[in-house]
Amino acid sequence: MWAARRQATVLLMISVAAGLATLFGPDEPIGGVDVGATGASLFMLSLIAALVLFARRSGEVFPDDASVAEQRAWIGALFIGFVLLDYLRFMWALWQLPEPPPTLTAVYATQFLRRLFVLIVVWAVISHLIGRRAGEVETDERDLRLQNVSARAGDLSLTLIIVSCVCLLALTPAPLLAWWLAPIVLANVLIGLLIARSLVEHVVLTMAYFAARR
Amino acid sequence: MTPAVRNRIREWRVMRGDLTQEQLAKACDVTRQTIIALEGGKYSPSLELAFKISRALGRNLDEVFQYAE
Repeated sequence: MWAARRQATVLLMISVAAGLATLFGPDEPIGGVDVGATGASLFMLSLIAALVLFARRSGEVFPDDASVAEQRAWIGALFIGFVLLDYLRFMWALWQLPEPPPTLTAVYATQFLRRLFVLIVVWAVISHLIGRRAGEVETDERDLRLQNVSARAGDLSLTLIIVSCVCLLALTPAPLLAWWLAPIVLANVLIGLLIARSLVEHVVLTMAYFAARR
Repeated sequence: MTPAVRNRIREWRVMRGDLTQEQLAKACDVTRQTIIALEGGKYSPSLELAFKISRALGRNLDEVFQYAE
């Protein structure tokens, strides 16, 4: 039987490749194969396999010296990475429209929200499965200290991104500005800022844990 | 960066002979990884945790932790 860590690595590679095929695959079939649909199916299968793996062998996936909080940080960084990719694809699709849609429902009744929902549910379940080892402390003062550092890094990144957006808005020509300031686009840009902040926070957290273990 | 607070946790734990990192972690309500980080000199504990560890090891605070000037 394969080691749990090797299974997780293979699943990770499959899910990343399938996710990229889903989001950025060509519209036209290649050799009669719909790359996007195949990628979406593979991605869903890899998520289900990940759930099964964590349900059965959650204690074996990560190195023994990684705490529950660290494991959750790694999983969080991975899933927020998927969410960010999905978001960028969604914004790209929005950008392709001749003009921004007028209502929220027109935009949000897309696959984006459905995928986002699935990702968040799987993320929550895996995080729960990681912490279910009986009698083990999940978070202590060291974890909180590292989380504090990463939250400050996230805040700093958010500040920098907002300042960059302000500068971009100031330099953008008026016709293009009208597109960016459409309520639906603006709302999605704000959501993007939150996703980016969360990604920076989780990546800094995983790096902090990684550095602390070396 | 080396923490300013040095400790002799591993020394006292080994001297006791019957206390694993896991048991010490459980006695102090922290993760085993935090005990590993402390013993490796990579983390300075809060005052509360320092007291808990000293008590679990059956030592005075200044026998376990020293402030390095």
